[in-house]
Amino acid sequence: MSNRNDLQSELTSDRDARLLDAVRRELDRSVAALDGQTLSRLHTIRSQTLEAKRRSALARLWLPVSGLATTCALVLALGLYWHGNHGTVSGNNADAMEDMDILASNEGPDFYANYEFYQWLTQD
Amino acid sequence: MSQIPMSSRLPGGSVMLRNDEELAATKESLALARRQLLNRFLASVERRAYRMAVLATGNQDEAMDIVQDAMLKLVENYGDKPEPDLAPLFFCILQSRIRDWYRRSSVRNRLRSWLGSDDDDETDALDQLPDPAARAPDELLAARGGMVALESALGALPLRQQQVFLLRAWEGLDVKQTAQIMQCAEGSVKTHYSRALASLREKLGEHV
Repeated sequence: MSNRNDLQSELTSDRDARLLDAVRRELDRSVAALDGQTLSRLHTIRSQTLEAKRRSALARLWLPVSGLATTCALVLALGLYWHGNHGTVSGNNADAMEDMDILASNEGPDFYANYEFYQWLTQD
Repeated sequence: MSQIPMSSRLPGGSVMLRNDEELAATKESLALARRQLLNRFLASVERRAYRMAVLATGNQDEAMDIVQDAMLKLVENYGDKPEPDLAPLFFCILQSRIRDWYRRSSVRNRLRSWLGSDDDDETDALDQLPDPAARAPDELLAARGGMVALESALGALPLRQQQVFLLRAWEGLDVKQTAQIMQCAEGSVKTHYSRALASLREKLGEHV
């Protein structure tokens, strides 16, 4: 009985082995017989995938550099803006007012050239 | 001192610049080598993956989308893994995408049945997939083509049986790897495989 079972099992496994070989052969044949359009599409999606990988790698490489540059530019722009609002413009305004005083006065240029001397005279 | 290249002896940051350039060039050549490896790997599996997806979905466009998703996911998330790990990872992603596709199809089919059909069948589409390439027995016999018969027999298998069979018999993966890829127990893999084999034996016996 046991021998019969073994024989049956061997026959089944032999038949299964042949079946598996045939299935693999057919599947391999079907892959080899894929049409040109399908192969072209597969090639295209593979190329697109790898190109996307290349671009993302490049982006990762340049991200810190571009991030730093952007930060610097932002800091510079903010600094200039702040300085313009709170420092330079006020100073310019003060200089402009002083120039306006000089132009509007009746004194000649010599007076302003010796302005410190006249100031010293008034103090004494 | 004399061994240091001329450009490296320049004052300031020139030495660092030279090193950075060399580092960038090395990184670039490593990335190129990696892309070439991935290209070779994908080229070696893409056709079989496509056939598996076609057998699973019965639709060439859907199969192409599934393969593309699997490629993208592999390259994005696991592109730096060692070469021997790539095949199990790729097929794991592919199977995940196929399962996702079935879930979406299942929802679509249920909606369709609610909206316009009297069919109240509640069977799980994942396990009880209707055969997209179904042929009548006489048509099958008339065709007599090995691939036609095989496609029909494989297409008639429930999804898990079909994919377990393809992974084990065609891709040559072992039970453990197949279980990891299919996200099921090793015992389930053996059961699915044996049922698939029995079904194929029954349907293809005369063609082999």
